[in-house]
Formats: sequence, structure tokens, C-alpha cells
Amino acid sequence: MAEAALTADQALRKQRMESLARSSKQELEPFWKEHGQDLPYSYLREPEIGLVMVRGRAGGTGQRFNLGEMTVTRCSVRLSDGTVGHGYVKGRDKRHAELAALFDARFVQDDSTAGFLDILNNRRKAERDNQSAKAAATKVDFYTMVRGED
Amino acid sequence: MDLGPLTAPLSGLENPAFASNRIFRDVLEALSRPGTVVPAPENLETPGKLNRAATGFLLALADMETPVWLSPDIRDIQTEKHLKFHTGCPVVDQCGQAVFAVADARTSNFDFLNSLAVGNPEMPHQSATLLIMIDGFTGPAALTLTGPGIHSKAVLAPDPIPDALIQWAQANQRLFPCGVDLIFAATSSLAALPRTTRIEV
Repeated sequence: MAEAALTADQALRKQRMESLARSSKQELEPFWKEHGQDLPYSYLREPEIGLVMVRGRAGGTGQRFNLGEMTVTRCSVRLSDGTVGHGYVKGRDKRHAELAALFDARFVQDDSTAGFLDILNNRRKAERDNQSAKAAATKVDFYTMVRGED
Repeated sequence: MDLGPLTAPLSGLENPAFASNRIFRDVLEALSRPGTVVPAPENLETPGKLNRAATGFLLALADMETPVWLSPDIRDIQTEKHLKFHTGCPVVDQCGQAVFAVADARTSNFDFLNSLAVGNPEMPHQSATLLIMIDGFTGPAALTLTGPGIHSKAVLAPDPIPDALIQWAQANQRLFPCGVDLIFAATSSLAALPRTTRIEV
């Protein structure tokens, strides 16, 4: 299925939703206190846990196959001015999905509140770099010695 | 993707799993004992021109396999978005394709009735369910009901009830085992006339 072309706004929103999904409840909670505490909101869709089928392609180019199912929690909220936000996160943490949805709506409402995402993105990058460095340290080069036979 | 507040979906059922179960049970009761008036969910946001009973019915029973047809006078963007968001059901243009058809007794044109799917003798379940929105069950003209699920006879007085609808419903009963099941959705309550019920005015 071809991915529909996104407008610049949609691409940005998608990127932000990804940052929210990759973070954790513990990380998001303090930022919500700062940017949205006491903001009235209602649920469009209460947090609910479900499964999505994760698909892959062998080598990234081969036939599509079903890798397995993954637990996902989703939530949709509406702020008091009618702004709607959606959150989809992996795992079973309902509050995480709720926070992701709340921030999604908050960013639409007030773009300037999205600044803290850089902090989260930098943390993710540091974690990835750290893991890559650890993996790189165990790298093994395979080579065949000349066996000296005629 | 339009995210404007005017066309955004409204809140769905509170505690969806339990609430939709409750509605399912109530609709089952209404259908198995024709003429019984069962309560509709309280505190439910209603999109566009749908009333509470109709909204609850659709949220509980519609899904991606049940095309919904809305009479032109009650069809609007908000209602469509709301139903699609919460149930994933397709909203169709041809009422012949509908599993659930929705109309308003006060404002709808009832020419569509004979286009509804009635199933066929091998597959009588492939018929539509018609949802008619009314004001209440205290109308001036009472219908006398007899048939399966009714002890001797039952009385139901939907308000308002167009003549065209009564005549169609009487003809519909004679199609058994085919035919359309009819649900009356008042604001806060609901009653059903399945295809087996004989109706006298």
C-alpha cells in the first residue's frame, strides 16, 4: 500500500507523535505539568488496548510477511476548545497513550509548547548511540588466513 | 485530514465494552418481545440530527462490516465522521446496500422503503434493519401487535408514525422469512417491530 503524500503540517505532526510514542509516561508526566496541567479535556475514545500486526520484508525488499502481533494502546481526547488529539503507543500503558493524545492536541493548539520534544529526541539519540557503541566494541572481523599450502 | 473542531467526532460510549453490551442486551430484549420499550443510554453525545437511542444503537452494533445508510435529511459531515471514527462503518449512498438504514419519522421522505434489502429465502438474514427516529411512545394512534414473542397482544404507540410506514410494515410482515426488521428510536427509549410481528392499526 503506497503511503499517501503528507502535507508539511501532517508530516510534522506525525514526527511529533512518533517522539511521544517513543518516550515513556515517566518522561512525559513532568512536561504535562508544565504545559497542560489543569487543562480541561474529555475523551473521544477512552484509552484502550489492542493488537496490531507488525509486518516486515526480508532484507527490507523481499516479500511482505507477518512478523507477529504487538500490543498497542490508543486514546483520543478533545480539549475544551474542540482541538482533537490522538495517541498511539506500544505496550499497555493507558496513561502514556492519554498523555501522547493530550500533547498531540496541545501542539496543534499552541505550537510553542512542542519545544521540549528536542530533549526527548536527544535522549533517544543518546540511548541509541550508547547502544551502538556497546555493540561496536564487540565487533568481530572474520578473515581467512593464508594456509600456506602450495 | 480535516481536524477542524466543527466536524470533529464527539465522545463515544463511556466504558465502551460494558455500555455496548448493555445496549446489545436491550435491543435483543426489544426484538424478542415486540412492543417492549427499553431504555436508551443516558449521557451520550449525539452527532448531527441523530437522537440518543439511535446513536447508542449504532455505536454498539455497527462495525466495518455493516454499511450504514442515512436518509439525506439527517446525513451530515459530523454524523458521518462520528460513526466512522467510533465504529469504522462505511456510510453508503445507496440504501439497498445498507445493513442499517436510519431515517427520521418527522422529516424523512419514505420513498426509499421498498429499496431496502429484504434478503432471499436461502439467506433471509441478508436483510436491512431500519432505524426510525421518533419523539416518543405516547402517540395518539396505537398499533396492536401480535406474533412470536407476544403473549396475546401488545400495544405500541410511536409518535409520530407516518401512514406510508405502517402500510409498508404490514406488507413487509407478509414477506417472512424475508423482510426488514424495524426499530423505533425515541430520544430516551427504543422499541422494535421484527419482521414476524403482525401490525393492526
